[in-house]
Amino acid sequence: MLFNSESFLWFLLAFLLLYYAVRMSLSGRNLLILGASYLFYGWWDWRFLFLLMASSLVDFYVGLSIRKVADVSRQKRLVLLSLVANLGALGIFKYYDFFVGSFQNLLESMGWSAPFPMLHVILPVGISFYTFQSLSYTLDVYRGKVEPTSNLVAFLAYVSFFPQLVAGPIERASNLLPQFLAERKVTKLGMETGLWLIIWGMFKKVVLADNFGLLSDMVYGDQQVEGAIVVLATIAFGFQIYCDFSGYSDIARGIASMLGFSLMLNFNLPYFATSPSDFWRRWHISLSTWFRDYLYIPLGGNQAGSTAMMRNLMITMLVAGLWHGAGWHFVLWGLWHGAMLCLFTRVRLPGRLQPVGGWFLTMLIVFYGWLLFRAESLEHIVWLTSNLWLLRFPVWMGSYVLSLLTFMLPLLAMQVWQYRKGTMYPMLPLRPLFKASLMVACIFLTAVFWNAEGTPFIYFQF
Amino acid sequence: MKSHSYEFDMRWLLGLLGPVLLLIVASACCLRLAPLFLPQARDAWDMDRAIMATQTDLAATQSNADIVLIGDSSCLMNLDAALISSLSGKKVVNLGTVSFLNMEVFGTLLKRYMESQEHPPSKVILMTHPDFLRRASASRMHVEWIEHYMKGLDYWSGSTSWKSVGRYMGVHLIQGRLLSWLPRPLKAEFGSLFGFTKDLERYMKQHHGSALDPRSLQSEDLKGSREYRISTANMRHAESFKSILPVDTDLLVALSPLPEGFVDASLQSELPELRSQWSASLKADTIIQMLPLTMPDADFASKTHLTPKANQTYSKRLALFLKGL
Repeated sequence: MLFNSESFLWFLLAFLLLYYAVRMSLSGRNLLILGASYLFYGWWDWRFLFLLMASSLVDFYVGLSIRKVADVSRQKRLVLLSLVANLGALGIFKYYDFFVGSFQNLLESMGWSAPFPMLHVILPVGISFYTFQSLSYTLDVYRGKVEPTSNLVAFLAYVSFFPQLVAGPIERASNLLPQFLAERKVTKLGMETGLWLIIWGMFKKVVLADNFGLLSDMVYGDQQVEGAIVVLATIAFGFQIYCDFSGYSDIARGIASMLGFSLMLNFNLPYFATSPSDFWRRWHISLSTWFRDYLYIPLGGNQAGSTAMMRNLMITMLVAGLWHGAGWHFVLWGLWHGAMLCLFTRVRLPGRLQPVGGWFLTMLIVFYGWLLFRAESLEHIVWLTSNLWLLRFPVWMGSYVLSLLTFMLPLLAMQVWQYRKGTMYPMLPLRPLFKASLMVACIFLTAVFWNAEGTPFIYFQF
Repeated sequence: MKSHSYEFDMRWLLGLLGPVLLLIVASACCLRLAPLFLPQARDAWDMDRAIMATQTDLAATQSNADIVLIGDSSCLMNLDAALISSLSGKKVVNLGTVSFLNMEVFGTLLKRYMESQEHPPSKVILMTHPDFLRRASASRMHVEWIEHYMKGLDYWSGSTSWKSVGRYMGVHLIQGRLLSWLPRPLKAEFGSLFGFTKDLERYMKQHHGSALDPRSLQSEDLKGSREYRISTANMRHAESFKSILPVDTDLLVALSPLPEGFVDASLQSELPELRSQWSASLKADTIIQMLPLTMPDADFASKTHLTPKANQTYSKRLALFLKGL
């Protein structure tokens, strides 16, 4: 069930009605959330519910067992069990065919035949998100940062919480799990920000992301298009992926907020970043902090000298690239960002140049990264890169620029407003009529571009 | 344990949602008045609608052409009216649209053209594909859209519940009247060649109403039924089509070609008969027999459309025919 589909709107209305209208105990309401979450997830393919349940149950019992055993080596074995179960499922469903296929191609290029079996399984939607969320629980219990819970329903609901189940934010147990275990308070501010986040998130997805997607697909989906239009298509893709993903996060946070939950901020004006590290502090914050806490720091972080730090950065970004998808262009994207993060630890722009120059360089790096990310293959990357410099323009360039600017304008206006006011909700202090006007404008434009079945979110494939 | 506490009451909630709902209703009411002060509806947001809107506009423009081409998408994509004009020395306009319409709409479009000219054309050439002749009914959405457009009315094809809500909100009025200037990207090969709806419309205007099909013939295009006959609906509409033409205007009939790889011996022998039968039911003055009924597969972009290159040779053949008249 997609957030931007009619079936989800009916589902949400029915759920909110039940949630608010029926008096229930905390366990009853957690059970309602769990049931709704499993219905939401099973709507795609009910068979993958078993995988979600299995992953959750393993981590629930591992969490409890870690606390029961005093022996550190036994605790480590339990953590290993959780790692194998979660990463094993991820490896089978997401990476097996990719690595076996790549290995087979390598052998064939050397003249050896190797008919390895391929699985050709469908990737369960959101698997990378919920396995990371579930895994962080056992890791935090092992580290003593989180108390294991014996409330199975609350834990299952924490892993499968439908607003953020399939595309994040990847919540830590330390933030979200206690919210399932205690009385929740639905505040005025929560309701108001929740409503705004849902409306603005839908607008970003339906009006902006889907239209940027049409523009980028025109060029990236056609290997005949030549010239500098590739630059514009890359800008379109950069805005598409931002609006698509942050739109999803906004809707997720909005729904959660209206239910009395608080989810972490996942995007903080990433295209205002003035260095690659600043970008990663603002982009997909729940994932970048996950990799920081569970991979980069355990590898040694920046504590063992600059060479070790660069190695750790490269490893972390390589894995982050691979997390996004089983493809060499994702690996290359991760390495590109890793290399740029390393470079920026050495390069410092003169003080006066830093704000604008740093922003400009960061955007060049980020948007070239999007080219690597969006390309279909390594050959496609070479072809696209060679076209960046060609001053050839298709006859429809004018329409392309007009479309691009039309959809960029509302986003940039909102972001500049947010940036200048220093808050993600600059509209909240406005008078009720102005606030309502802004919401209604977004609702009408969303309705204009609304597609009943919904267009899938990009990050669902990860 | 208690699961929730609420910091607000129903009155506060109404205060939050009330202005939004009231503004939606107020905006919907204002939009209902849109026809009074906004430009004419033109929600040509996809390729079919862009073609239908362009041809409807072209039909209402005074061009005083000597020859008018009309028909389905094979007329639109297989004939280059600008090239035919320059080679034949006669002013030619192409009002070919899409195959999802019917003869009744072609007739209405032609009538619209006749009413907009100082003097009627000497000839009208009706070109359709054999697939069009056997089609039992047109696409309701396409027919309704062009009928609304010709009358300057707003159209909304929403069939789902939320789309119906959109209709009451007046969303179609925003799309058709406020955002009609927005170019929409065309899909796949059409996007590569023409780019956007506005660019396709510009191309068609420059080529007197003609367009091109940039695709390549696929093996699936050569599959399907080989039984051809004229549908009852087409027979019925054919009888009244000729009456739209002034007495001095001749009706010429042509059938678009099929790929040779699709046509078997039996169909090969049936096609001339099909053309004659169609011409008879239209009470046409002339059958254009010098245009081939089949062509090599390499000349086709799809089962119904020629490639841009074959379009040129095919148009030249028609231009030669018209020059000799």
